Amino acid sequence: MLGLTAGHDLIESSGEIVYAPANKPYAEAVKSIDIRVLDEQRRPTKDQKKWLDMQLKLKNCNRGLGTILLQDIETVDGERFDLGVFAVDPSRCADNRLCKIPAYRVRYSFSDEGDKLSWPENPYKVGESVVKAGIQTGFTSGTIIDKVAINWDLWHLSRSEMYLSCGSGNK
Amino acid sequence: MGAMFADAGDSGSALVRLIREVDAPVDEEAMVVKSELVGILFAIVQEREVGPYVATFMPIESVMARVRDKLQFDISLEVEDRTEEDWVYEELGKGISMFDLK
Repeated sequence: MLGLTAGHDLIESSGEIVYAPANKPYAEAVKSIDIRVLDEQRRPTKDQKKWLDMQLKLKNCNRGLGTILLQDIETVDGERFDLGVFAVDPSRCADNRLCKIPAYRVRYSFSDEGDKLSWPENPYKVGESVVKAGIQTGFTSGTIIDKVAINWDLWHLSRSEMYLSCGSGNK
Repeated sequence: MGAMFADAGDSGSALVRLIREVDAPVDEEAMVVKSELVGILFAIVQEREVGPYVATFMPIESVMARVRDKLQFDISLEVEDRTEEDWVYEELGKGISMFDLK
């Protein structure tokens, strides 16, 4: 089973392994609890065991999601690609049912097959509504507004035709 | 400006078009009969530090063509259903210098 994501999401994954999202907060949390545990060793308090347990739990947490198959970040014939493909570890495999994601399930009622992700039957149009459930801003809806050109690389002024979405979001 | 549609950290999200049943009396309450994967979100573009911005996505047709070109196979969304009711996950901490475990 494969996972699709943005190519730059895979950059922080070391070697061939893809880790769960939020690498930076994870690294910060590890650093932070290391400092706390060190502090507890110098001046022990009644919470010493609690912090040690937390440190152990955090460091032993299995964050592996799979292995990278493709990391593709480039502009080709005016179209920008920032694509990542990875093979999902069997223990992490899911299916493509949106109603298993609470953000979707609480907002919509789906027909039996209505929550199953499928390919678009028709091309999307400007003005159409789309939704997403992201790690940072959660579930939001927006509108496809235009297709424009963006200078992705200011130093070399390469122009890319881009599809754009969503002037504002509504949670 | 309303709530942000997307921000740093949302890259890789699936952009989905939800199609509702057409003959429901109230649009907002209509059942979703189809969920279409329109694209993959990958960047936000803002001309100034404060103000309007846009989120950009790769259309799924381009993604499919690119995967075919680079990996020599076609991707499919046909995945066997799993029995779990929810996708379980564990949230470990929240943001800078937080190590509280849930």
